[in-house]
Amino acid sequence: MKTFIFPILIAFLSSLSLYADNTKLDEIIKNNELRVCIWPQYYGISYVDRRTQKLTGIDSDLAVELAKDLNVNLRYVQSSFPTLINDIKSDKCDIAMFAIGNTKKRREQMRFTSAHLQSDIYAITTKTNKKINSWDDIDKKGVIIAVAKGTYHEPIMIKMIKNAKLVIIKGFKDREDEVQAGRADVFIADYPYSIKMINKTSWAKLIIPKETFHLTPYAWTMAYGNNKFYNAVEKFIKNIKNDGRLEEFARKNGLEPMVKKD
Amino acid sequence: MRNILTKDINLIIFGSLIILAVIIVGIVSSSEILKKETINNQLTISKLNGKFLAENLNQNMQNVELFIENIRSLTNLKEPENIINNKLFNSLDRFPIIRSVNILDKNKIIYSSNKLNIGLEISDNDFFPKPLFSNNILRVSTPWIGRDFISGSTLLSKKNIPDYNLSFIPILKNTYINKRKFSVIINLNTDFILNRFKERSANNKFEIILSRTDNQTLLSNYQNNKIGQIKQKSTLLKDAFEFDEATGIEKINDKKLISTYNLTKDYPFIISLHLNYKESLSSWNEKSYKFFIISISIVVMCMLVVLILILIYKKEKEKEISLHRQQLEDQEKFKRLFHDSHFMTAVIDRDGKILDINNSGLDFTKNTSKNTIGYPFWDIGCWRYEEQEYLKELLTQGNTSINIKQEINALDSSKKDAILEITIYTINKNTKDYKYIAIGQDITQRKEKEKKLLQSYTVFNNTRDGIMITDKDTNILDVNNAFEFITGYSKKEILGENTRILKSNLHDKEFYDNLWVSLKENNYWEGEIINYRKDKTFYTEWLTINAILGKDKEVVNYIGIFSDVTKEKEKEILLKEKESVIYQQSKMASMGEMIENIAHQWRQPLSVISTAATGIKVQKKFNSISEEDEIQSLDLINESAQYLSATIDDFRHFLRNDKEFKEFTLEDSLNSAIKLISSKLKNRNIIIIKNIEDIEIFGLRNEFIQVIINIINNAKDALEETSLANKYIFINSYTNKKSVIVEIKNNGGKIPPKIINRIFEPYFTTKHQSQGTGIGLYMSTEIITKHMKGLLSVTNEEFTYNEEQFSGPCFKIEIPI
Repeated sequence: MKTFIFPILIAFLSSLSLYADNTKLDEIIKNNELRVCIWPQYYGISYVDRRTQKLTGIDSDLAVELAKDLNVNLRYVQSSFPTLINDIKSDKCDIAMFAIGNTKKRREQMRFTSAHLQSDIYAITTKTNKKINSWDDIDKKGVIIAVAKGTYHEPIMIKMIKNAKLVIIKGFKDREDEVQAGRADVFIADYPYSIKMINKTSWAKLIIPKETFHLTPYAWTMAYGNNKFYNAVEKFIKNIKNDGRLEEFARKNGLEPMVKKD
Repeated sequence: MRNILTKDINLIIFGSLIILAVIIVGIVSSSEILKKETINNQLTISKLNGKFLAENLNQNMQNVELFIENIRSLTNLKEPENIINNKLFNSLDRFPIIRSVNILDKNKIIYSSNKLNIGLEISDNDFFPKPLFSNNILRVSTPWIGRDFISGSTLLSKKNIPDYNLSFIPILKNTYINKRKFSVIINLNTDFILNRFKERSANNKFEIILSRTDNQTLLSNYQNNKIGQIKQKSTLLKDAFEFDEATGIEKINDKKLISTYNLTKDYPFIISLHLNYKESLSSWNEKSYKFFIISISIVVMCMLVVLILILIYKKEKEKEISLHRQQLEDQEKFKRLFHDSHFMTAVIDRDGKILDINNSGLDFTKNTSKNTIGYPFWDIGCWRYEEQEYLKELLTQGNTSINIKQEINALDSSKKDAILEITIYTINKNTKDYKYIAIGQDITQRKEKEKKLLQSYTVFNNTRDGIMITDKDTNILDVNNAFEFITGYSKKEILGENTRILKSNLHDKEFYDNLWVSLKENNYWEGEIINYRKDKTFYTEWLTINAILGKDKEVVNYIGIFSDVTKEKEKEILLKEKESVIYQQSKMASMGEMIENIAHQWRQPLSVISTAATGIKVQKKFNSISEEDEIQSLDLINESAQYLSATIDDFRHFLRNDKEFKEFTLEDSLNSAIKLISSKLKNRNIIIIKNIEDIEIFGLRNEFIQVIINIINNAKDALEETSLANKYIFINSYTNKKSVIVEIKNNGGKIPPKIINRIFEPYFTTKHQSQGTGIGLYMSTEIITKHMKGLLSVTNEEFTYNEEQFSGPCFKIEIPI
């Protein structure tokens, strides 16, 4: 029975998949709603200020543009890096638009669009920290580096760091608290987060790598299949790169250096 | 100099004004910089206060949030309501910022620290912000007026809020109690926050506003009545949303403000601080005005001082430059004076060696500078041994203050004796660098002149002639001893007096007029003048006055030289009297001779008359006379009588004392003279040979005739003594351009040379006393020279007449025409 049922299930799922492959965009249009997963704490990308509950960031702006292009309403769905794969797979949202680093592990789970942004890795320390003055000071014995769990920084830093101690922090807010509290010397962030720290705090000091350390392309993800929708999004990406909207919103959010032009 | 000074002052004033302008601009700029600094300080203060208040509020809100979180552990729903409410009330002890805590279930207060609130329904519509995703955020309500929910109301129902009213701000957050979701509303105590604001408002200068992030005013230390208003977000506030804080200057409702906006880090609050820009600078403006006035006053005073110092400095500098220039000029002058001076000058060092000598010195010593400079002063070859020794001793004794002036003997360039007036003095006295200056002047000639002058003065004083020197106004300046002697005035008495003091008034005005005309025209007058002596007696002087003219041809002095001729005048009178006697004697002699001549001349006619009368008488007696004979004889008597009468007329004419000058003919006067003595000549066989031009003469005829008679008489006397067979008297007359010349000579032999020059002297005669008085020729000379202004002279001549050689004196009478 089980052997009978299993092929039927596969066939069903495949049909579902095929269906999904062809119906996602239609569904969006039919429902007149594009559901976009965002991580509301991603400064510059998709940031909800808890004091105003206003959403700002390049990807949230581009989500508006995408919905506009698709001529449907937009609905933001709260997500985060730890929950991202699950959120996509469980169809919590149609697309995740919050500058997701294109890593192998994620590619296995999600379909990445073409990258529209890219970022190197940066370190944030305090202005009063006397140990860390340059990038070379980071991987030294006695230095504690904080990195957020689930981010693409985690595997990179595990691989790269040889002398310093790496502390994996769960949750985003905690890593800067660790540094400010002196429990860690630096924490690792990407460009947007680094900008936030510099702009929003008075204690943070940015440590920039002397040369490109690890450039990671940022893109959006969606579930595999959904070619029609995928192609529509790819077309959208192509359009915003060509018609200047990408640059315009990057400028608006102070992320011009991150723009990836093919 | 004055122009330069004025120009300099103008320049300095112009420069000063520019400097003042620059300084004013500098002060104003500095003031602006300080003003900016003040504003920056205000901005910093504002920023710091804003930050502090925001952080403080954030901290308080974190505590409040924690308090809300703790409610779950504080509250047990199983407990009675009253206990829960009490617990809530008691938990507020450490939270003065909280006025009340309320737990709501679906908008209805079910527990509260203020029991009066229980049961009230509070809508969450007024709470901000509306959550985008999560409900579990802290939200802030529109402020309420009143102490708590029970007695308060939302601002939405109030239009005018009294300033004194209490207010509170409800904040809401969800929490879970016993796994049930409730809303907790904390009413924030605005007074507590306001007090914090006032602590930071810097004497209430800052307006501090607490707003929600939708810019609704929750609280203000200035205008409580503005709470609840939602204002438009300014640009600065928008910046604060981006960077959590923003400070700057902005204009709100046309009011310039120094503003700081701070967003609390985690909660929807904005702390705004506003400082009135103008008022914030009022104190500064007042201070800066005072500062400006004081600064400018100081600067102006400094500039005045500097100006005065510059002027003083400049004046000193000019003086210095002028002095320097003067020194250079003086040096140049000194150089020229030194070298071109006719004074012999030498600069001598402390060892007596010549450092420099001028041209006059070299000329005098007939030396070159090469042979002089560096050599001892006493060896320059113009000193004799004695002077050499003297100078050597003087200049080598190390005297640092020599100052002598004396005459010294020397030898000039021709090695002749000379007298030098030498001055030697020390320069740089009493220093190690002292030198001597020797200045010499050859005063040999001056000495000679002085000597001569002394001699002249001696002559002046000792001459017999009186001399007086006056100024142009005839005030007496000097007189000599003779003057004192003649006039009786001492020099002391007469100096300064006018010459009028001597005036006798014996001369008429015309005399003095003529004197002054002569002086003016000829600068000279000479004549006899009678003046008064001091004792008012007269004296006659022969006075010569010379006018001494200055360069402008104007009279400077008059010099009068006079001799007292009083005695001479007396002698002259006596002589005249004597001459008168002589003349009378001469006249008498002439008369004697005339009588003799008359006698000679009358003898024949008287003889004829006598003979004729006798003849007539006899013939009458004898009556033998015919009438014809008688008439013939009577005619003869008459003729002789006529002759006698004519002769008497001739003599009478001659003897007449006729002093009238008149024209007479030479021939007639000569013939008259010959006729008067013709009888004598005839008796002595003397022949007169005449060669006479008939020329008119102006003069005294009879005296001229007397002269001719005297000369012929002398010739007759000379010829009478000779034994010559032919005795001649030659009378020639002729004229030249100036004179009539009559020459009378005889051949009676030469006058001995010894006496020829004396024959015109009075009473000189070679004849016996009976024959002559010796005054004839003297009188003749007097008549010709003085009366007729002519000349009478005599020379011995040798001549030939009728082929015979003769010699004799030739008397020559020259009478000007």
